[in-house]
Amino acid sequence: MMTVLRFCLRDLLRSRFIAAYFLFYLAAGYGLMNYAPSVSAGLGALLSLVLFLVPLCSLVFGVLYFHQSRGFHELMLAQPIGRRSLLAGQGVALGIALCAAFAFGLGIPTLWFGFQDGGDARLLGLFLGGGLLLHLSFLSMAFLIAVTIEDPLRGFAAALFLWLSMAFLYDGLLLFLLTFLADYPLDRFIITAILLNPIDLERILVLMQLDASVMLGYTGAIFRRFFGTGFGIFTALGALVLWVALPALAFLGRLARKDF
Amino acid sequence: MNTASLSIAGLRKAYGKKEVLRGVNLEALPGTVTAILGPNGSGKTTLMRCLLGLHVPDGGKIHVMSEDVRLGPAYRRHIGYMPQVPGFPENLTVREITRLVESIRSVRARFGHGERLGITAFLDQKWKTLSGGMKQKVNAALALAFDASLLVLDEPTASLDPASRLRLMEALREEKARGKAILLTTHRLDDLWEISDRLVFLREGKAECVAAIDVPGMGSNPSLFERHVAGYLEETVHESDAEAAV
Repeated sequence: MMTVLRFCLRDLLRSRFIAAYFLFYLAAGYGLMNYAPSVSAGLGALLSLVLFLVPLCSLVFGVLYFHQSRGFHELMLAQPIGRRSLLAGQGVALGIALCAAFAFGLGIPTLWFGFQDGGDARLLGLFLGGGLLLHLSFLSMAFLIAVTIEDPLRGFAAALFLWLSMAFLYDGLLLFLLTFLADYPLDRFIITAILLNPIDLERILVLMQLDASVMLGYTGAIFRRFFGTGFGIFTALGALVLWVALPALAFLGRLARKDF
Repeated sequence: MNTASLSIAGLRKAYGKKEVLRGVNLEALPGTVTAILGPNGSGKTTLMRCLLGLHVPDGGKIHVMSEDVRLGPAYRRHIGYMPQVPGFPENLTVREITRLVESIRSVRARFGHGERLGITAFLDQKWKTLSGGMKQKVNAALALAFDASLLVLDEPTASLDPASRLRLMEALREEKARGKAILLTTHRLDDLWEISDRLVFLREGKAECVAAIDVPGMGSNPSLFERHVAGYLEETVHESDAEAAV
């Protein structure tokens, strides 16, 4: 696995996509942090960008990368290497490359401006760490989609649908249910619903550290009561780690019977 | 003790309800070239993919150098594979690709044939900058570089220029003389006449006939051989006509 990881990472770090991904985050991070009135406002704006782009890029690039590597899979699997070692090596390499582009691209401006203004280390850590976990979880889902759906076009469509569902439809449905069931106690339901969507997890984790959370009303109070505590943060991060691990394990499980 | 480099017994594979291989039996002996022929969709690629571990067979047994392929990927150290459509990470150089395969096989590559094919001239070029023919040469060189006992070649001369094709044929003859078993698929009849010892026809998911070629153009069992070659050619011509009409 380490051999494949090393060489695939070398390949990815030379790719134009990863360079463009890094430069985009660097420019966006610098622009928003430089012109925002405060660190909180800058991070709030960047959060919207991250929640929109990270799942989309991870899903689309993950599915395309897997399908574009078919020739490589065919050649490598004719060598004395197991399927899991090959695909795990390739997946981890892609995860490291995307995370490195994100961490350096956004990390440099946010840490620079954040600490200049005496920013909150926990806020910055949750923002960047959550972003990294978000990359890895959607990359795991992308590889699971790619190994399940043979046809690249259908796989691409499934990735877009998943992104649309988790980024927009899920929240819409949740909002509808909250309005519809407003007369009932919904504390546990809301918290469980948030744990079931990694995008919402990252959003709530960061928002709870910002001043803006007081404007969220009744649901904000529920979130603050749970996710504002050490236990809540730990639970949310644990849920994000599960969002990385479960699709990855399902992907590795499907490999055994997969026809390449 | 079976001396065959490759032994396939009762191999079955289906995609959904469609049975592609229905109990294929095949052996490849050291020092021989076995060509697999058959019309499109006859199961040639599926057979090769099952042998390489790319596809999971539904039944039957495959042994490479007496090792059961179900016991893990280690048996593939005996195999040198040249696919029809080569693919490596685009931003790696040919030298890095060689290092990658060397690391996985834990063996140093020996590019005797690779030098003859001229790949040393583009060792430091990135994969994405190579032409189709150059990529095919690199694949041929890698398949031959690790002293594998069984060479599996899928349309090996498809995108090679005439001079490179001749060099590859020469290299394959040398490997055959060194006792390597070679299994190839091709639609080029001149390749068959030049180096094949045995022809295997796949039809409706079975290896229908094995014809041994003694002299180019003549089978050891002429009537059987002619019937199958004539049938194969006829089907190929019909397919080409149908494709042209579409």
